[in-house]
Amino acid sequence: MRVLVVEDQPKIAAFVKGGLEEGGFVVDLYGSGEEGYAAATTESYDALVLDIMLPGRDGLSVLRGLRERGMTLPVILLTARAEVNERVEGLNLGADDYLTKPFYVEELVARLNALLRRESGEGTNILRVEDLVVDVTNREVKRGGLEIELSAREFTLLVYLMRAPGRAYTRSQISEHVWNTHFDTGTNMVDVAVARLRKKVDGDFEDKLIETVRGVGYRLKAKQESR
Amino acid sequence: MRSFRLRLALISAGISVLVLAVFGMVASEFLYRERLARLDADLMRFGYKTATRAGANVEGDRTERSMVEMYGVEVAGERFFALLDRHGREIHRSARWLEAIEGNDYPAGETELDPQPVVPGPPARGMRRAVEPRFYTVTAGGERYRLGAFGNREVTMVLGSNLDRYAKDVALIRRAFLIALPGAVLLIALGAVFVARRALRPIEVLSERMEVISAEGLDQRLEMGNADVEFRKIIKAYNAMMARLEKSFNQANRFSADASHELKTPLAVMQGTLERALGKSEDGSEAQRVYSELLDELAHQRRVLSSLLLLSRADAGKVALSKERIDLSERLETWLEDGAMLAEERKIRVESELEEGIDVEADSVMLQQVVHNLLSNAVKYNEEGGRIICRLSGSGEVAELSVANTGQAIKEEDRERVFERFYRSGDGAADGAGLGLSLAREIVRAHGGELYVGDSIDGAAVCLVLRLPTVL
Repeated sequence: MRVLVVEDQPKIAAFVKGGLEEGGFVVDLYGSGEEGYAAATTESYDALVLDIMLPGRDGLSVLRGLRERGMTLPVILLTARAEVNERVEGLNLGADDYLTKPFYVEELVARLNALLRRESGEGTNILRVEDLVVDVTNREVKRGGLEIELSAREFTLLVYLMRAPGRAYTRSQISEHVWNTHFDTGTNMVDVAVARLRKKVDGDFEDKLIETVRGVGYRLKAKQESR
Repeated sequence: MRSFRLRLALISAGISVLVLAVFGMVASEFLYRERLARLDADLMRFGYKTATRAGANVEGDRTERSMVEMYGVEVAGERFFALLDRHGREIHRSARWLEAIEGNDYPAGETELDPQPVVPGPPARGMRRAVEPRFYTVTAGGERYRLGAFGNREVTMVLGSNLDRYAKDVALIRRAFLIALPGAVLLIALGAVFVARRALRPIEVLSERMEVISAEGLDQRLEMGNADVEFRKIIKAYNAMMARLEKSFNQANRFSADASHELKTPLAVMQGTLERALGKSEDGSEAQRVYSELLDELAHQRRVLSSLLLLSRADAGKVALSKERIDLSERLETWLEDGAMLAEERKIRVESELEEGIDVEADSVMLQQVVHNLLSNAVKYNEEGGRIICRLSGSGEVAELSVANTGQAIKEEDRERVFERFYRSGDGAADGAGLGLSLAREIVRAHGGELYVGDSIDGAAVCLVLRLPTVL
């Protein structure tokens, strides 16, 4: 999951970025409204964490711009206690949630997870496909009741695929959202990583959950019954 | 190296020596001539008296007495004379006579008729008419003598004096000058060095400032301060040049920023549209395959664009970094996982020695791209079943990361070329656009670090070294 953070105060920015990375996100960070807007409109992100008070173009203006372009990505506003009017305006403009400073970064991670969960139509922070269960909050993976040990990267990859079971992702999408690659690497990193993940998740099971879509990329097997 | 200061000192010392030498020679020559003229005049005083008075019956002894009378005892002791009759036969020779001048050959010596003393006016009535006096300089026994011949039609007197002794102060001055000259030259040379240094000092200060300025950025200018008028011109010209540079740089920079935004935005829109279309397309359909192919191609375009944008920003010295303090040792553990994953595919062993607790101030997203690039290169250009050695160490203010592999060594002459843009190694193995290492180097430089090809470690011939300033 790739998150864009726009925050001008270096201390808060570093702590938000660190917290999100610990929570399994990959993060791009910008310190001004202009840069943030440019990044949001030219790169693809799964969510946006946006400070309201920014030098130059402020957060509300960025938000308005994005929504006017028809971009629907989830947005969490960071606001100061006194900025009640701005908060209301932000929510009216299409922000999905807000946090008042000071806040715990765990809360931000939890709220982001909640937003992404709603996006993918899940009810809890526990993702399920067949007998594969991923607890996003506690970073636990179980298949058929047995715990599976995954590296941080493998976990992020699995969660990315599990947010939308049945949806196929191209290799470049995966590499962008899981590795946050900005430049060409000329490697088959995605294939190698998926192969390893497959070994751990599908290895001994009859039912293979990670599927290769020919000519496209990879996906997680669609759920049997769709709600 | 040619030193302007040294040249300046040598030239000014040389000129000074020349001037001093010429001045010394001319001065002593004038002094000598003046002495000669005075001696001639002095000889003339007595010679003229004899020439206007003496007849054929001249008496030598009386003449000697009258000489003492005229010159005084002391000076007369220095003088000598001979009296000759009209046929040139010697009538008298004074008690002191120069042995070296024999017989009648006194006029045969080296003559020096110039300068001639002024002959006093015509003799008073009743006196004899004097013949034009003649003067000679002769050398005898290693010393020079001045002889004057005076006389009338009947008697000639040859009167002489030691010239060297008479003009000994001139010789003394010459000698003193020769002795003093080297000392003076040395002093002048030292003075010239000092002056040259003083003269060049403002230029040195200027060039130091210019160095600082070119490191700091194009918006810097030299201060006029209280610079001398000669340097104001240089400062003005330099500042004008910087202003022009800045202007064109900013234009180019704005162009590439605008261009990249203009290019990236439609790509992003296309990507969004394609992603939605891909999500809705039927499984296994032709549309699904086409959409995803387009998506991958689009992603590639966007990355190349990002690379070019970063390179153009680097050229303008304006790479945008969001730096934070990170534990490099810890990050590397994670990043190495990716590398190890790639390595495993080709049965390459990754050996890592990471010193713990090395903190750097860095943009972790950018730095990750660099490390990823180094590791994927180490896999790509390695031999199947080879090794990758990854070492992190910190010494004082510098963190050093070496990533070495057992592939084909980089030729000495290619050590810099691998960082060139669009460089492709000879064997045709190429990644993307061939921008990887040049990008990596620009990112590292923007962090105030360096990236270069190092020497092999532990049998791993290809080694790239990344150095970054640490924070305590």
